[in-house]
Amino acid sequence: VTTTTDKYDQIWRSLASDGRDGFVEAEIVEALSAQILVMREARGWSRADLAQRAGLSPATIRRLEDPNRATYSVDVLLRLAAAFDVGLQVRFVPFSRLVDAAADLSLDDLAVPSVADDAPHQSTAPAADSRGRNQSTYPAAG
Amino acid sequence: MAMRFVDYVDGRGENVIQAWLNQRTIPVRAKRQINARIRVLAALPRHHHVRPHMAPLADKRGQACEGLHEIRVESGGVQYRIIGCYAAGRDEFIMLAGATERDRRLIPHEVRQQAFHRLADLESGKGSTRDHDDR
Repeated sequence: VTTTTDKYDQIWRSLASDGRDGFVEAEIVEALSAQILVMREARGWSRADLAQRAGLSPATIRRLEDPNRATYSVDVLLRLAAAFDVGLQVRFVPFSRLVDAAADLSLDDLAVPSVADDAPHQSTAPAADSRGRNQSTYPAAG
Repeated sequence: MAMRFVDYVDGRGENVIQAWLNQRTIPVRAKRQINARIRVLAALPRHHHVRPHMAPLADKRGQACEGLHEIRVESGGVQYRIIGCYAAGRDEFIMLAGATERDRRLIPHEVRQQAFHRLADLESGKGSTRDHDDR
């Protein structure tokens, strides 16, 4: 059975032999499209439900869930994060961290809970404003 | 990992999926996308293995398999397909052959027969499987 370490080594060797062309894009598109689908269904929402909450059209949601068609902007990702009431990280990282995440991908990484179901912080979850955004910085400093 | 994705290895020991992915006719970007798709599908429960990610392909044939399915990836305007089947009684998807699709026809045209042939070889012990290799 292939371990996470084996998978890490395979991906890393592939990057070394074939170059890094397309790797970042493929990881982003494939994971994000799956995340949007899984998180939407976990909440029991239709595409129309999510579209309404995010201020987007159902056709856009369908496209965002399709890894063969999707393109993402930070603005759209922020709208979706607010609708799902989850955090969002968009930042540059070393390739090693990206490969690590790819090699160790699990359902827990894809099915992100809303802040209300975020177990360690359940009792201190901040209230959301009318657009579903958290009103205070979260988690609280200190 | 919710499900193992394994490559078919023929009687000569060749990993046919890795060999297909490493053909010069498949650009690196497409290979990256296919491998990323396989990792995501492996993390997802089977009820999420639906369009546009995957689709059923043909009727059931053979004992070890629940019918053919295809992984559907578009990259650079080309429709790539990996044909395989879910192993009966195991959380495992066996990838049997690679193809492209144009005008709703698989290329090579005989890829379904090839997949069923490889499945028969697998059942008779002539072929084997190995965890998908991302190289």
